[in-house]
Amino acid sequence: MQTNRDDIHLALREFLEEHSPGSTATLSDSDSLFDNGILDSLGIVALVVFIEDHFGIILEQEDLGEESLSSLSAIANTVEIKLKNGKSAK
Amino acid sequence: MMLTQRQLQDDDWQQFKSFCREYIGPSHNNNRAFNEHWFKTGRENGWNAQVLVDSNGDIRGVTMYILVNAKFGDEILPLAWSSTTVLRNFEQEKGAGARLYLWIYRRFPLVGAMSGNKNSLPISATLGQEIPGVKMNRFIRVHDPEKASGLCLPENRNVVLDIDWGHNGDDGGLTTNWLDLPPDDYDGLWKRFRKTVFFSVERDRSHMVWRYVDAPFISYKFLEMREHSGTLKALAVIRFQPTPVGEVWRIMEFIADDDMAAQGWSSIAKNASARGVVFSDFMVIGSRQDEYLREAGFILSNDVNRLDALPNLLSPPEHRHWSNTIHFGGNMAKKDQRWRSPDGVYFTKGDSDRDWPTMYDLKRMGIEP
Repeated sequence: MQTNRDDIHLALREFLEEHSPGSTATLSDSDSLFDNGILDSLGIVALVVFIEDHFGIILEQEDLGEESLSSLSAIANTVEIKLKNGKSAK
Repeated sequence: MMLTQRQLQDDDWQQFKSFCREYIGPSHNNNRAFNEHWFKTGRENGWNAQVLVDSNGDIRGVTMYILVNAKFGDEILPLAWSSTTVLRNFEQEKGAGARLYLWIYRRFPLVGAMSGNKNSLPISATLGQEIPGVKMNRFIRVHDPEKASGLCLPENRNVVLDIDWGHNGDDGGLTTNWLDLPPDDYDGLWKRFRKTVFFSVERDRSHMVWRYVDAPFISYKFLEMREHSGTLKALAVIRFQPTPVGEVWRIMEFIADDDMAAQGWSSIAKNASARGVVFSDFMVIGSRQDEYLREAGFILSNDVNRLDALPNLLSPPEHRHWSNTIHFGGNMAKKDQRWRSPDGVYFTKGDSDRDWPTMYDLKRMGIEP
């Protein structure tokens, strides 16, 4: 799958908006998703399932730490690295 | 703060106990023997529990799972029943629980979540799948309507009294015996039964002994049913529950040959009636026994007959409604979807952690929770 950074951000934003309607309008890429109440445990589980299905990658346990999931930028970085490394799940 | 995830260790016990007492409250989780039975089966070389610890070694979160073998198609695979997950408030806000859940669902080929609560249900539904239209059914046979009505809330007493409970059906001449252990020839019956379902806990004799003989705090009895030739045709596992109005039978397991299953249920109903039991019930996921149960006068509790007025757990005043859901995840559950049919699965209230002692049970047994 050919996916650039903008595509990743867009897909993640769309997911977050769907998961937490109205929460992303003023959200910057570096804002904390936890402190802004956008992600909780259910949100993370849903996000991981979405990322794996949408991008065809597998997130390992070490990708699920607080820092890796703290902001839209951090998540996008993780996805981008996985895609570059060709860790395809499908 | 950076958290590390690892398996629970023996050295963690005191801290684990304090953590559980603080975040779960008084419960069976504070008893080491109970936890060792359920979460230290040796199949994982240690505790079937994962902890999140901070850099000081303090436990910040715990998830526990029960590991059993499952019959899945032609294979026997590990099935992890997702049980209690609890985190300190701060970690909860940071979504650390998701890490623990995701670990279990990636680690095991089959992961089950039964009758989730409002917090865990959305996660189980995201990580697992259900069988469309299938929930845990509760079949009830009232043997003494007058006494049974006394277990209902006052406004619900007619729910039981207005039903014609009919007769117990034909027991086919099966002879019954009460046992403390599964009979020696039980595995033959199980081998025949297991061919009829795609996905079930591997209920062989060793599992039955672990689950119903060795498990602490709650006692169960085995009722064997044999035909004249002496062949074992059915086996039930029953928990006798005392109530203020008399004894109630919770039927935990029922394994039978198809040709005598209805007669097996009838044998149970007749035994219960003869012993003056108030009512008996059987909670099951999977439709294979439905018709046999009906032939013996068991009625499926539903929104129309409202038989759930008879309490599930009988911890007075226990009238809790369960979600009655079942979700399975893990790679194999995703890969091979043949399990997703109502007659392809067979799980009971004896599976997962659904028949653990309540606070009422512990206090009645004089066990400090």
